[in-house]
Amino acid sequence: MKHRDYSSVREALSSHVPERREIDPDWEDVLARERLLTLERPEREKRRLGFLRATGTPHTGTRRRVSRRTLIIAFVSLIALIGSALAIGAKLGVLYPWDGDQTIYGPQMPEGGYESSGFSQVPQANDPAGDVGVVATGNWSGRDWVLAAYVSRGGDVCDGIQFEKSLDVNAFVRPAAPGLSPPACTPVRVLHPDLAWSTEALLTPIDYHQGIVGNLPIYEDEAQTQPGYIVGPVVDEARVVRIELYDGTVIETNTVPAPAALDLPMRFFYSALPCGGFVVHVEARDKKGSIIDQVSMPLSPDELRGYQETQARCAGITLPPDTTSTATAPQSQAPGGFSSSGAP
Amino acid sequence: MATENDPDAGTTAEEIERLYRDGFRRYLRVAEAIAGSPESGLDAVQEGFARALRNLDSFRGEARLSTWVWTCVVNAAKGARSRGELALVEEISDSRIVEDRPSGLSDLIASLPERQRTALFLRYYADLDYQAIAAVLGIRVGTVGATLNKAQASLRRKLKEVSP
Repeated sequence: MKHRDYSSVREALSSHVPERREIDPDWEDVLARERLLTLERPEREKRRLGFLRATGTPHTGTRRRVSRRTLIIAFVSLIALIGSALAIGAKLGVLYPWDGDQTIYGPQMPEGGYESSGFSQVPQANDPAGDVGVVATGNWSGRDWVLAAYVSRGGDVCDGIQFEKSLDVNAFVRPAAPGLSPPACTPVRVLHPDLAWSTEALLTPIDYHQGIVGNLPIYEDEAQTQPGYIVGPVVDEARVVRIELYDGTVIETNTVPAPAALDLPMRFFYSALPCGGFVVHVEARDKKGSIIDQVSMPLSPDELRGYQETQARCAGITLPPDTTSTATAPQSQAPGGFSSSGAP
Repeated sequence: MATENDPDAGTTAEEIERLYRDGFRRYLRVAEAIAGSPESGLDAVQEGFARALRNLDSFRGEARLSTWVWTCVVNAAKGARSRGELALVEEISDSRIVEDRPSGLSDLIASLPERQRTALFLRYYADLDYQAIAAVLGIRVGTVGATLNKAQASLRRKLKEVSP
């Protein structure tokens, strides 16, 4: 087998897929495709009406009015029937994705959700392989939340936070509704009855993801001034997690054990964050205060500027062009705590 | 990259169009790498953006708009790849011998686990940061680092194995 001597991964990847300068963007085509997607439903409706006509309803005035009324009654009955079925399904906890034509794209959507729009089924590695356990519950900014975790079919530990009164387990396998978040996952080696892995702990000693309290659509006014949150798994030895924001604000929070449903030697941490508080560093520390592991997220000047503007907007002020970030002193907190030190 | 980092950017069709025009070649490169051919890659980019426009209402605050659009494109490319593989399986006749051994750079990269492969593409072709890669792949920031390290080490090893 002949291969050239690739000196680096970057070089290999460069030759794997070269940049294609000969292909130009075609936004009109995107719009045309989008219009086609929008037309899908009316097209189907047209076909359905065509079928109704073909089945032969005479077009006399009286008969037509009666027929339309009958159709309306039938339609209302059908809606009521579907509503009852969905309500019963939800009660029984067996409600599964019913997204019909409303395919939801983005991080909220399980990969398999593309089926309804003609995409092939992709394995849903982030779906729960076993029970979903509640890690903690609480209230941030007047919103109740439930932090839940589970072992996924892909062999990860996944967690997600839901801003509802009670946990909706099925939310983890269907497109997220307002208040729900998609799960985020971390590799773990576990022993599961259906999966042949050895029993181990987290492969990444500390991991995290952050979001906006309420998981509100970002374009909603309320989301612009809403606090954030951070959650994640840590190894069993970790007792404290130290969180540093881009502006130097430090939050410390205690860890909590994993729920029994996971049956894993690991813990979780969670905390509210000030509005616009972007995390740049997290550390897992043991009970003696020694660092077990840490994750850093260095920011580029552009990113830094972006987060400064977000934080200024949270405080309701306009940022002058030459503003720079400031560091503040650390503060300790109980789990889920919230330090406003240095925050607007 | 201003758009990537500007949380103030509105979630409007115009903003999506700006992302498309500014980053078209990066989207195309990643989509082609995932989907397996330039044609499928281009189709995935167009389809991904069309669906991003169509489903703009479902965009939520867990990610930046640009990250969310990346997810749409990556998922469209994965869908295109799945359809392509299905078509390939149907085309292969019983008499044709399929070689197990990697026979080229594409095969070496294809032999990486999907998550590692996609993380590499997003890092090298799209120049996304760890936070954005985490959001696109539905994994966490720390996992991105570990995934990329494994992918790079694995690819280096495979490249050495097949080098003369």
